[in-house]
Amino acid sequence: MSRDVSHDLALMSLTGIAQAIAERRCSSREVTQACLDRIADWQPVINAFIAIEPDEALAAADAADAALARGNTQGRLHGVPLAHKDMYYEAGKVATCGSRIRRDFIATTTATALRRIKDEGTVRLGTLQMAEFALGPTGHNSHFGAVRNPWNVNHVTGGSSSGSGAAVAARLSFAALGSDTGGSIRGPANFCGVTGLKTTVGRVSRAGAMPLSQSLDTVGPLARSVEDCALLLGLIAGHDPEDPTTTARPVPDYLAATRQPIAGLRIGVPQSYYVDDLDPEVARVLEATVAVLTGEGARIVKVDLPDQSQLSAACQLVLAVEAASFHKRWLIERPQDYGPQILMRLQNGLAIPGVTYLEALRWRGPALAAHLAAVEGVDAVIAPVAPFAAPTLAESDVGNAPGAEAVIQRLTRFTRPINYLGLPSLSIPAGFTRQGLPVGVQLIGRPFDEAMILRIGAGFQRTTDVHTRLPALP
Amino acid sequence: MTRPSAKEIKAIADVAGVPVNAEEAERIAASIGPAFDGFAKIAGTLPFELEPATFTAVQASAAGGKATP
Repeated sequence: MSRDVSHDLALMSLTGIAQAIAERRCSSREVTQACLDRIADWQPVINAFIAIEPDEALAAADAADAALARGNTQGRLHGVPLAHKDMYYEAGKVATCGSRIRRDFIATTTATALRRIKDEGTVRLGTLQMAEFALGPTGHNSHFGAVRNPWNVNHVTGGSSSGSGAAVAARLSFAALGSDTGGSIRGPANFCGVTGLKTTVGRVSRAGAMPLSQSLDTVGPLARSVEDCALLLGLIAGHDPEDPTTTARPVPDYLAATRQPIAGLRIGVPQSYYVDDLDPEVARVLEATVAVLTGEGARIVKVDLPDQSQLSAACQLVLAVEAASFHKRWLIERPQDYGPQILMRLQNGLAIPGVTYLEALRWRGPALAAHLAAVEGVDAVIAPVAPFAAPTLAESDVGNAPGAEAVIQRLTRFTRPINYLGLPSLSIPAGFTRQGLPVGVQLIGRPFDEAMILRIGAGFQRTTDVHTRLPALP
Repeated sequence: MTRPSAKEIKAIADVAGVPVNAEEAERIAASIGPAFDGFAKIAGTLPFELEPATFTAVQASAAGGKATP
């Protein structure tokens, strides 16, 4: 197989390549080699991977091909090569969590979400970059270097799932797990032009995933399309005895949902906060997206949401305290091993009294109730993911300088309120700036109604081609 | 509710067992201060019986299910 044809395999969707391997139109080795070839080309440019495991990947691909030749298929992703954010523990493998502190940490268990994907027969390519301990929205990492945006390497990817966003955008992995505590899936999906799903708190097990904030952490996929996200969510969702916070409610057929029409659905457009101080190019893309959805028969309604800045503040208080609590031992024993920005942000949690923290948690129920009342009769809310496209590496490399927190908060301004409310939210690529940087929108759903936002997102992707466009290797 | 000063933060961090120096305390005060400001209207206003678990109950109710996972 020529390298050009091989590269074409790497450009297929997750659902498409899984089907192609299952039907033996191509081998797992060919697909895995195609991904490794692209990784060899792109990694020096964008730094999306922490570890690349070509020999192990090809051996696993050969084993998958041999099993298929014997008529044995392990599952729906048999022989598909994938890589994930380096915070999902896999027994016997290093999980650095993007940190110096865990640079040599070898996991003794496997994360439930990762195991559920692996059980479908995937091949491990390596591990993906991330913000140190998943606490950073830019894509900078003082230990492993910044991840660069495949659409323009002078710009960041967003974080904390920086490697996941970049690797999926550059077609190095067909999809990747990320995590979203304050915007860490939606941010990189938005800045890198891929589809990313933040799930409802309780929908996907967090067992074996590095913790940051037990109240806010969520696990979800980044992929090349809504359909691919739906496939992965169907695999990883559902109750897990190892994570008692997961719901026992049934897992819907998310792929079937993506095939439903969107005509007649009601989509809410906020009248404040999410439309304030928008870069004109982001505003233009949002408006165009609404027009496409309208053209598909969706009904657009104005919604007046409760004060989102209060939700955002409450999110910060909860996240800061819970993160500081997880890290307290290392804050005492190894403060010098943190990057300056994460050390500063972890120290923030030390300054918040216990009563204030608990008030922020106690308010969560009434805040969610108020939100649901405001969106009564609405199937989803549409909003930008960030007020601007991906900033440059230089302007976002703020470390712990005065004003750093303000930069961070501006990047996550439109995502944090949704984390506080625990709602599902789907980031879909929706357009580009004149400079060629991707711009996305998020579709915010009701609790446990990922099916609805996947349905709307798929409706948008059926009639547009933004999600199919590829960045060129510089 | 008012945002804590750097001096207060230094004292709180000491009590928490993770001392910070004066410069770090200043940085923390500037960094987390806006979150205190943003939450000020809520702090001290919540009903007596309200528990954090109310969130799970509201979430489940909205999704048409029971409060327990």
